[in-house]
Amino acid sequence: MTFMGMIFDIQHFCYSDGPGIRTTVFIKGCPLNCLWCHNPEGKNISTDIMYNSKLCVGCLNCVKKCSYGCHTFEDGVHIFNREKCTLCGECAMVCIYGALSLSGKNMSSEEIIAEVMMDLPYYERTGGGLTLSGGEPLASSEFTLQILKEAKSKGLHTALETSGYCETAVLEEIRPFVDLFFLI
Amino acid sequence: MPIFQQLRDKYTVDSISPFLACVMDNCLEKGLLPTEMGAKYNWFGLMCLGIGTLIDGIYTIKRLVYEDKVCFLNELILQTQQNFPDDELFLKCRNLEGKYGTNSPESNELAYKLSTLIGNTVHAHTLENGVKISPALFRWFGDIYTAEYPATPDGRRKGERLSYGAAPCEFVKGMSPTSMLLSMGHLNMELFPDGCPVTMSFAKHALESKNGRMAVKGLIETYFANGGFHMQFNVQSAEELKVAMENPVGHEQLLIRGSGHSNYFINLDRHLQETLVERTEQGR
Repeated sequence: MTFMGMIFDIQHFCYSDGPGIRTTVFIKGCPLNCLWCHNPEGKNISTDIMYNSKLCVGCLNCVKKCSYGCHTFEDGVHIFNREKCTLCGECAMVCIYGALSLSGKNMSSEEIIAEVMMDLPYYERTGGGLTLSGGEPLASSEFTLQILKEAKSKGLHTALETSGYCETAVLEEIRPFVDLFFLI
Repeated sequence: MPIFQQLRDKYTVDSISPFLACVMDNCLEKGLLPTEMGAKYNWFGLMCLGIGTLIDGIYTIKRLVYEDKVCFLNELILQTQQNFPDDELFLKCRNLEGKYGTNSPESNELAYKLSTLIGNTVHAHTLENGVKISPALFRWFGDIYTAEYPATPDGRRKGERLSYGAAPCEFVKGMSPTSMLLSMGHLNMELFPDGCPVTMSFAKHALESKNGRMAVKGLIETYFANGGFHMQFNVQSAEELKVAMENPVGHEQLLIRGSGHSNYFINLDRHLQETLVERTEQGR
């Protein structure tokens, strides 16, 4: 059976998320709504369109592309009307400057492990491995468990960043496949 | 080859230096200057710039013309010659996944084949008096004077920078420091003894923590174990961070450690960027 989940980033060469060089996989969706969240793009379980005004050069590609008129320019200032947005992602596809980007990609556990395994030479040399973060990885516990099981079958060191917001039974089930917990 | 012979002849006239003869083996014994074939090793460096752009160009043609059949070859040639008037095709070329630097098997294979072809072609020739030509994968200041370079099929418009040294092109999608170095390990670097540089930028914070130093050490060791032999470092100062704040384009790969996590600097909130600049200035 294939497990699919929504990922908002896979960050390579992380060195603050556990020992050695690590790859951190950020899983979307969190049941909490904390004011101090350091990854707010991970709260929502579905896709988000992210806009970084500092990267926008005003090329108007998004204005031309969007079928719903979400992107407009008034006095040279880019205005993104999110109420009309259907999250189709077309604008992010045509934004070559990276100001608009699609956050959230459906990936299978196999695809994730394949990308994580690319950095195996670095893990072997530094004692690194995989870190799961979010969002709240335990909100998608079946998916998280599957990734961890596959990582362990490949002999990877695993770390999990979690708020601990889940049933005790979930934590018990997942515990054997996690080498290091970060309770944050 | 005649061009390179001319270049060498020019150096023979312009760069006669007794000082060089003093510091190069065999010149003093023979009583000859390096330009008079006095040195033990008589090499002439040949700079090749833009290996990453070349690999991506061939990869783009292979994928879009022959595999995905998005366009015909003559169409892509025309678009490239005319500096990509068609935005849609331009974006397909520019944003294509799996280019050199993403550690994809296809671009890695091209990296090996093309670097081997260039290296062997150069090594097959010698200049007059048996002077060996030694190729390198960079050109001095090649990243500064860009206006003369025409558009390339990888979705690079006229005037944009070519890839520098052994490093991939800056706008490649889906690239990380680790994947970049793994891709570069597939270049046949043994054929380029005059140099295959790559510049890695690290934030000062990265080298201040023990974890960060161990990670950087691991990154370098892994690269060298995988075939790399030339690497340069750039530790970011507060001044450089300020420049990146005002001009995010070109600073996409600037990785910085925040409080307890690392992130790309230009993606951070303005306030956080300012805080990091201040902290960098204060050395903490």
